[in-house]
Amino acid sequence: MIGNDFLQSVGIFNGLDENQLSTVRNCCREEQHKAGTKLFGEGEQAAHLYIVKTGQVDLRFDLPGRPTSEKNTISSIQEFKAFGWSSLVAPYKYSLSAYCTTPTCEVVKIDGQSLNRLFKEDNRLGYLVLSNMARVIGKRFQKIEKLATAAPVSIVKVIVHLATCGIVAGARDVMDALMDEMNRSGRSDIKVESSGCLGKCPTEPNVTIEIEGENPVVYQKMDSDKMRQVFNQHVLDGQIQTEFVLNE
Amino acid sequence: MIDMEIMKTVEALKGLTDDQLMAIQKCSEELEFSRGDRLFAEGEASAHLWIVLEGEVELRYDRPEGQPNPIEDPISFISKAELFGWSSFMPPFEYKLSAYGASQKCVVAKIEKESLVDLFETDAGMGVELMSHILRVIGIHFYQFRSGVAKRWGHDIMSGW
Repeated sequence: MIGNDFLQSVGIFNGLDENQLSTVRNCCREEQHKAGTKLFGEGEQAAHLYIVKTGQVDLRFDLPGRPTSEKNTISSIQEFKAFGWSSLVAPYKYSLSAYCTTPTCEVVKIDGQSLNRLFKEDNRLGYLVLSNMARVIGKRFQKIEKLATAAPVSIVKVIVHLATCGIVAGARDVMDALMDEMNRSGRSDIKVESSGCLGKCPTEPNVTIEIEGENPVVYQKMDSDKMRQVFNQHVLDGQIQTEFVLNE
Repeated sequence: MIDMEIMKTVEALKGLTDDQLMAIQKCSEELEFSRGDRLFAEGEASAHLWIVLEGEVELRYDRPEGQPNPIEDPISFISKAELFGWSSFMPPFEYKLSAYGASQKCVVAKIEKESLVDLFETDAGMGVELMSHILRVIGIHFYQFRSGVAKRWGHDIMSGW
C-alpha cells in the first residue's frame, strides 16, 4: 500500500497537504505488470491516471500489423512520474499506448473520474494538480517537439574516439558533455560508442556521427561546447556543423 | 474595456460567474491589429493569454527555409471568442508559433498570465475551470505533435530502416 510520502514525491502532487494527499491516496490502486504488457492502447477510453512506482513504462504509437518495439517509443516514464493525463481532460482518450518495458513494473492507478470529482470538491487541490500537470506536460512537449524535427529513431550513432591520443586531447570531457546532452534530450535510442584512434592524432578529439542513409561525418578538435553544439544541431536537428568537420 | 457579452461566449470562460469574468476583465487589455501585423513571434517569452474579440488570428511557424517544422501543417486560424497563447502556462513559457492578424481588422484581448495566476490563487475554482480548458487545448496540440512524430517514424519503420 502506498503512503503519502510516495505521493509527495510525485511531481503532479507537489504542494498538496497531508489531508489532500490522503484523499488522493484513497483513489489509488496498485498493479504489477510484466515486461511487454500493454497497460492501455491509444484511442481507448482514458479512465485512469498512472504513476510509475517501480520499473519503466514506455509510451508508444502503434503501427497497424506490426509488433510494438522501442523504435515506436515517444516517451519513457520512470519512477514517480505520471502518465495517462488524458484521463483528466476531454475527450478522455489515450493518445499513445503504454507498455511495461522492464522485467516487472509497479504502477499506481488513479481513477480519473474520482480525481475530477475531488477537483470539484477541493478546488485548491484541483488547481494545484492541474497546474503541476501543465508543467509536466510542458517538459514532455519539449521532448516531443525535438523528436518531431530530429532524425528518425535508432539510426543515429555517435562515436567518440577515446584512444590515448584522444584522451590526452580532452576526449573524456567530450564524452561527458555528450552523455549530459543525451540525458537532457531523452533520446535513449541514439547509440553512443567509443572507439580507437582514427590515425589523425593532431585532429583529436575526434567524434564521428553516423546517420543511416547518410555519409558519416567526422568532427575534429572537439571540446565540450562543440560537442553540445554538434549534438543539438546535427544529431537532433540534422544540420552538419561544417566549421568543425574534418576535411580529408 | 472588453465586452462582457463576448467574454461570456468564450468557450474557456463559460463555466465562470460574472464576478469571475469581471476579475479577468480587469487584468486584460484590448488591442487592435491589421492583417499581417505580428502579435507575437515563435520562441518569444509567453506571458499572456489571448482571446479574439473580432476578426481572425493566424498561428503559424516562422522558421527559416529548410528548417523542418515540428508538425507538417500547424497553420490554424483562431476566430472570435477563441483563446490562444496556452504556452504561457507551460515550460519553457515560450510561444510555439507566431501569431498574425488574419483579417482586415482584428481585435484581441491580451490577458496577463501573472495576474491570472494571482486570481487563481485566491479563487481556485476559477483556476480549475481555466486550467482544465488549457490542458484540453494542450492535449489537442500534443496529439498533433505525436501524430507528426508517429507518421514520420512510422514511415521509416515500415520502409524497413
